[in-house]
Formats: sequence, structure tokens, C-alpha cells
Amino acid sequence: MDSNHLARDLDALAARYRPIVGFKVRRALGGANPDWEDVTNEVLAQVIAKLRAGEFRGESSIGTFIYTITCRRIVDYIRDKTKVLRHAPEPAPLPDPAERAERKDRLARLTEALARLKPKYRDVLHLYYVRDLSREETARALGLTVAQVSERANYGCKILRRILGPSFFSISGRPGRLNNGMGKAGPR
Amino acid sequence: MKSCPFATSIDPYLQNELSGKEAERFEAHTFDCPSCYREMSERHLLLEALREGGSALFSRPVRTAPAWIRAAAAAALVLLVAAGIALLSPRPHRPSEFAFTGDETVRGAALEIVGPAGPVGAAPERLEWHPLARAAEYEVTLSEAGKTIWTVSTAATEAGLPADVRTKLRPGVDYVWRVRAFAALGSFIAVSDPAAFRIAR
Repeated sequence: MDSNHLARDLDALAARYRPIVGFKVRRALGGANPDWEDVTNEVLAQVIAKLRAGEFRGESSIGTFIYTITCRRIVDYIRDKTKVLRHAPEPAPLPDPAERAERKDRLARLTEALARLKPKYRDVLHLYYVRDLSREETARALGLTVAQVSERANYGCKILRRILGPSFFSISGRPGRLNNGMGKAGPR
Repeated sequence: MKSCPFATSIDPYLQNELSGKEAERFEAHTFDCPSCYREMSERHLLLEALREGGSALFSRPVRTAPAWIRAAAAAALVLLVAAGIALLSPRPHRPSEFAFTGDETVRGAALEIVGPAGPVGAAPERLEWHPLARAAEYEVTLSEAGKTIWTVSTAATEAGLPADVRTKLRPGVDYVWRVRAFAALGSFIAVSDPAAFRIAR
């Protein structure tokens, strides 16, 4: 394989895994942490460097290989950050006006979609996801079994997703609370 | 199309219900499974939006169990009593394990009943419970064999049983009652455990 071909393959791999690495990093660092993009880039740079160095020998899947690198980098980041935070916590950036408008529009769409949902699904979504009750507590509050809570939560989300349409889940590149930096693409 | 067996872990993962090892296994899987990753990332966005919008997205208060389920639960309770389980002996009322206040879940808050509970000498004149912070209104329901025979809403922490209801109460029959509390804007914030009383023959 010539070097141009290899570079193209590695770029394609990085593009393919950027969303999933970004998801994992954001989840570990917290949604409001602005460093998630830098950490994601560092992970992908490490992946490419290790692939170039022949460190991936196919003993595991490429996904597991990248996952391992991601976890290690997150641990390093948290360790380093903890040292810094002992002295001066960094303030989170303020959301910009366009982001606020986008967020408002999305919440309006969500309100409308929820209004179209049957009460039996709305009640479960409200208690389980918004009030953050456990499945058992939700089941007791609504007179359901735990299995019914799981089914209704799952099915309620699927109906919501259908009502909201794909545009609700394809977001521009701006980081923000409703934007987890993940486009629709994932590992293929 | 058959869904991935890991798909059932998506919700527990996002809700932090998996153990450390289970979460790791699932995360590693999402690096290799496009279907699970797509499902998880979309679900995550949806839940984030739901949490950000909070209770305001849900225009009406959460309902408690449908009437027939509450009736079935009450009937089951009556059957247990009939089977001789010690419902009639006075017992402390275990508080509910959760209550809702505004957008927060306050675990441990409770709506506790004072009485009557257990055997009583005559038809009780009133039903009484402890006050709950932030409760603006209480709704009391009295049931017989799972069927609601009387209900009232009040801002007080007791409800007098009307004479016509008291005269209908028969000795030897179990009557179950419970109280639900609502905040000023009508949102449901707590419910008591059911209490049962029986008039001695």
C-alpha cells in the first residue's frame, strides 16, 4: 500500500470513529467541559500514530483497540486536570445566542412531540428520565411492573424519535449542552 | 431485522444502572457496533433534551396508577386481610420511599398517616395525616373492596367523614384509605401508603 493510500485510509478511520470517541470522552469528562474536543483529537492522533507504528496487530477488533486508547487518554486527562483544579477551577464558557435559539427551538419541538404521546408513555418518560426515579420506583408510582416500565420507556422514546424526525438528531458542529458533538455517523 | 442483543443495555447504560464492568463491556461494544452506537447516541440526545426541558415539557401532572389497578391493589389487600395476615394489628406506617417537589426528586420525603388504622370501635369521624412541606392540597380516597366510596380534597391535614358516609360503614368490613398531596400549581408531590381500618362487630 502506498503512503497516500494509507493516509487516506487513516483519515477515513479517524472520521468514522470521531463521533463515538467524542461520545465516550464527553460522557467521561462531563457535557459542559470544553476540553472534550481537544481530548478527542488527541485520542485520534494517538490512534493514527499507533497504527502507523504497527502497534495494532489484529489481536482484538479495531474498535476495541481505539476504545482502549480512548479510556487511557481519559484517565490521563482526569489525573492531570485534578492537579490543576486543586488551584483554580476553569469557568465553563457561556452559550452563544445562536446556540440558545437552537436549544429553544428543539425544546419547543420536543414539547409538541410529547403532547402527541399517549399518557401512559409520557408518565413513564417523565418519572424515569426527568424525575430520575429508578425503574422500581417508577413502577410503584404508576402501578406497573418493572418490565412494563422498561417497555414503555423504550417504546415511548422510539415513538418520540419517529415524531421528531431525523433532523432533531443531526446537529451542527457547535458544541453545547444539546450538542454532544456527534453527528449521525458512527462506526461502520 | 433482528436487533443486537446489546441493544437492551442502552437505556441502563445511559441511566448509569450498569456495573462498572458491564458498562465497560457495553462501551467497548459500541465501538464495534454501528447499530448500537447510533441507537445510543440518538437516545442520549433525546434524554438530554428531556432533562433540559424538565417537567415543563410535560404540561400536566403525572397520574398515579389507573383506577382499576388501584382497585385491584386494594382488593388484593383486602384478600390478604381476610387470609389472616396481621393487617388489623396497629402498625407503624412505612413512609413512601419518594416524593416529588418541583423538578427535584426528594427521596425519603413521605406523607404519613396518623389514623385511623387497624380495628376501631365505631365509624371514625375524621381521617388524619401529618402535614407535608409544600403541599397546598390533599386528596383523600376511601375505598371498600377496591371501589372508591368517598373522596374529598382539602387544604387541611384531616378530613371529616360526612354523616351519610359514616352511616354506610359496616362493622367487620375493611376500609382502605390513602392521601395524595399536591403542590400549589397542582403537581402531584407525594402519596401515603394505604391505611385500613375495620369497625369492630
